[in-house]
Formats: sequence, structure tokens, C-alpha cells
Amino acid sequence: MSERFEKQVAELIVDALNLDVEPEDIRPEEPMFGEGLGLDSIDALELAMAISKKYGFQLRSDDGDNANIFASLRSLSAHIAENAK
Amino acid sequence: MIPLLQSHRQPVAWNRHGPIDGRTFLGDVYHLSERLPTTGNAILNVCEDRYRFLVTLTAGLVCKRPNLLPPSTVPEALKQVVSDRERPVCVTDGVPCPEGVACVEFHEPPGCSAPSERIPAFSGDQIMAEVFTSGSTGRPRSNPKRWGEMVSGATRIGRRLGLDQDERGSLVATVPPQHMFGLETSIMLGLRWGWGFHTGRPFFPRNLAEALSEVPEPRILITTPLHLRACIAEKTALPGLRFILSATAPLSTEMARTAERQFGCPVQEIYGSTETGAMASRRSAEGTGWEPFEGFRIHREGSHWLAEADHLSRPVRLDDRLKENGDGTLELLGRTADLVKIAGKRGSLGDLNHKLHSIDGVEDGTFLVPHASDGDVHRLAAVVVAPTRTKRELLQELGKRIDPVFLPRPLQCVKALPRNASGKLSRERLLKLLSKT
Repeated sequence: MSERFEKQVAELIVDALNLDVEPEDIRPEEPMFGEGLGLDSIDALELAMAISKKYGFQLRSDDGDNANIFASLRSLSAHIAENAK
Repeated sequence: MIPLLQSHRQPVAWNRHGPIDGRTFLGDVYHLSERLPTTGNAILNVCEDRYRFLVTLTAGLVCKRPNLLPPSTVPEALKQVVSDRERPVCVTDGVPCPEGVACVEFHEPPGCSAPSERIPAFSGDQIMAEVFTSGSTGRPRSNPKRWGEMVSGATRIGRRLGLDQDERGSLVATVPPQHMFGLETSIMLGLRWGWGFHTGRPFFPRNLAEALSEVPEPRILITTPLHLRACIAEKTALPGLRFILSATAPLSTEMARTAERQFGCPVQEIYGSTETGAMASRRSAEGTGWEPFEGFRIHREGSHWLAEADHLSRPVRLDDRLKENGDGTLELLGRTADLVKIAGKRGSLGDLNHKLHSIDGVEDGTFLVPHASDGDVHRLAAVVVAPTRTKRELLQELGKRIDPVFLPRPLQCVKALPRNASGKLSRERLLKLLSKT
């Protein structure tokens, strides 16, 4: 996973969710939901829409997989890199 | 006495392997009720799988032990819900039990026990569940629900939506069964009318489409404006729908029309609250007026509105501002000043401001509701005077005190709040401060 790609995803997150932080302030391993960035389920849907628009694939969660994809900026970036069209 | 099912052959639920019929369900219910510790009373039901949720709920009815349905599964909320209960039991299929509570792990797939054809019946007066209201910061409050009132509620909703006694179909819901809307519709509507529900709780549009394809037509989708908006944006195909049922926040006429066009079915909306259950409905593409359900009397008293119904022990004061249309329908004008509702959770601006002021270093500050561009989804904002604290610290401190849905976006730090001579805040000038971010 390139740092550059992670930064691109961080920019997408900040932009899509109207977050009050700079993209470079998001630590790649920091949890995004609950503590950490404090995102919630509205954000997950919002992010899903932004990701499908920009990277051309629709997020889906297998049983229990949801938590893994959204665990951190790093895991989300990896998931996008794997699935992007 | 009202029986739980009309027939033991009725499919209660569906998963990707097929239907789960009444016999299988009853077997699982009796098996779980024998596994519950015999001491103690209330059952905290945090099951995420809709079928396990219903098995637990019904085992509670069989043992005459009410289910406690928490507003969320964050540890603090669970702790508060059981705080004054004697020896509560928690039934879970994954969510961690609160500390000090006897825990029953429930992971078995359907049909692991001997099936049963013994259909139980319960007194209408028996308390089935206590549904807790969220509240942004205060303690969750219990709202007892009796078996009889839940059955008649489901009868009312089904009749209004044109369900037929002899027709069978299936339900897919994105809302949790622990919340009043999810309980009334995905659980009770299904039981009462013999429509089996999908055991999952699909989240992303793609999952939603997959869940629908796993259950037979006709299908009812039970969801929220947030999910509908995502499905519209993603152009998700949602085939075989009889109708879509939405609640938790009002849909705009425009969005309802778009959804009807795109998904090829009516979009029905429910207006209700945890305290009252479903009070009124409308087909949002056709008009903004809400038609109260049979038996509900909704009227103004002084500056606020009250809902009365036979199943409510006393009139319930509503948090909304309403208006009567000439034709007996009601117009929803907005919420009372102090109240905000974000992602289906209700909070009080007064409470939120109090929590903000309780943070060390905060000298002044206020939450406010900026105008949302689409009128459906919005976040709160806050303007804060706290010279010694950083934005990040303030957000972290707030995160410990309030539900994340209420966290301000943006949070703007300023030197002083724009107060007028009498100390009142000017909303316009606050909004101007925000637009500078």
C-alpha cells in the first residue's frame, strides 16, 4: 500500500464526510469508527457512495467483514486498492 | 389470550438456506427458554441476527420475563439499561455483555433443537419488552410494551398498508429490531401477517439487493431515508418490492418520487415514536399530510401536541410541531426548539450544551443546527471558546460524553461568541462564523 494512495483515500474521507480535520492528520492505523475519528453508520453509507463514484465499485460486507474494511484508513485503502476498477 | 402464530407451518424467517418455519422456530424458543438461568428477571436482548432476536424475545414471553431493548449497543448504554435490575440476563450473538451481567451466548443456527408444534398464547396484558429511548446524554428511559398492544399495532399497520390475510410474502429490514420502528414492522408485522423476515440486517445497497434476492416475492423493504438515498445514488436494483416502508426521519416529496420511479413501487412512511409506536402514515410521493392510525387522537394542548390512544396509559407529549389540515391529516412542521434528531437518535440541544460546558477549558460555546442542503440528513455544528484546548482535544472530550452522531461537524473555535446586549446568541452571526471554516 503506497502512502500516496492512503493520502488520496484520506482526502476522499475528509471531503465526503465534511470532517473537521486535515487529511494528513488521519493516522493510517487509527480506528475510524467510535473512538479515533468518531465516525458512525451514516458515514459508512456516505463513504460507500463516494467510493463507488470515485473507484467504480460498490462496497459490500460479508458476515462480520464490515468491521475489518472500516477498521482504519490502512484497511479501507487496501480494500479499495483490491477492488477498484 | 393471543396466540403467537396462526400456524406452525408459517415461515417465520428466511435466510440464504431457505425458510425457517414455525415448528423449527418454536423448537428453538423452547430450547432457549430452558437454557436461561432460572434466577433473575429481565433479559437484555442484544442479538443482531433478527431470528435470534425473535427467539430470545419469544423465550422471554414464554418465561414471563420482559426483554430489555437498548437504544444502542455501546457499553455505556447497555450498562445504564440494566443498572437498576436485579440479576439481569444478557442474550447475545456477538455484542459483548455488560460487566456483572449473566451472559447467555446464542450462536446456534436455526433448527438445532427438536421442532415443536405447540403454539403458545399470551395474555394481551403481559409485558413483552421494554423499549428504551436513546436521549443524547441523559439516561435511557424505559417504555414497557404489552403483547396485546404490539399485536394490535401490527394489525393497524398491516391494514393501512393493504396487506391481505391470505397473502404471504417476505420482509427485509435495514433497521435494528431493538428499536421501536424495527420491532413494530420487521418483527411484529411479520408475525401477525405471516410474512417471514430475512434474518440479516443488510447495510450497504449491494447487501440489500442480495438479501432481497434471497427471499420470496412480494417483498417489503423496511428502511430509512439514509439507506434509500444511498440506493438511489448507487442505482441499486431492488426487485420484486410490494412497497418500501420508511421511518426515523421524514422523506422529502421529491426523494419519495425518485424512489418510487427507480424502484417501481410505492414508498410508505410511518410517523411514530418509541413512546407511542406508529401514529400515522403517508404515501410521501402523493402528499405531505399524515393520516393518523385508527384509534389515535392527536391534538394540540396549549403550545404542544399530545397523542392519545387506548393502549397508552396517559397522553404522550410529542416533540414535534404539527398542524391540522382540513381533511383530518396532519402536517409535520418541525421539531420543538430544543430537540434534534440525527440518524434516528433524539437529543436535546440543552443537554448537549451542558456537556460541552462541562469540559475543562471551555469558557463558552454552543451547539447549533445548520441548514441541511437536502433537508433530510444533517449534522450539528458547534462554536466554542476554549483558548487552552485544541479542536482535536475538544472533539475527543465530547466523544466520551455524547453519542457520536451528535459530534459537531464542524467544530469552530473562536475568541468570543456573538452575543447581543442582552446576552442572547445571534444565529445568523453564528452561521457566518461557521461558513468561514
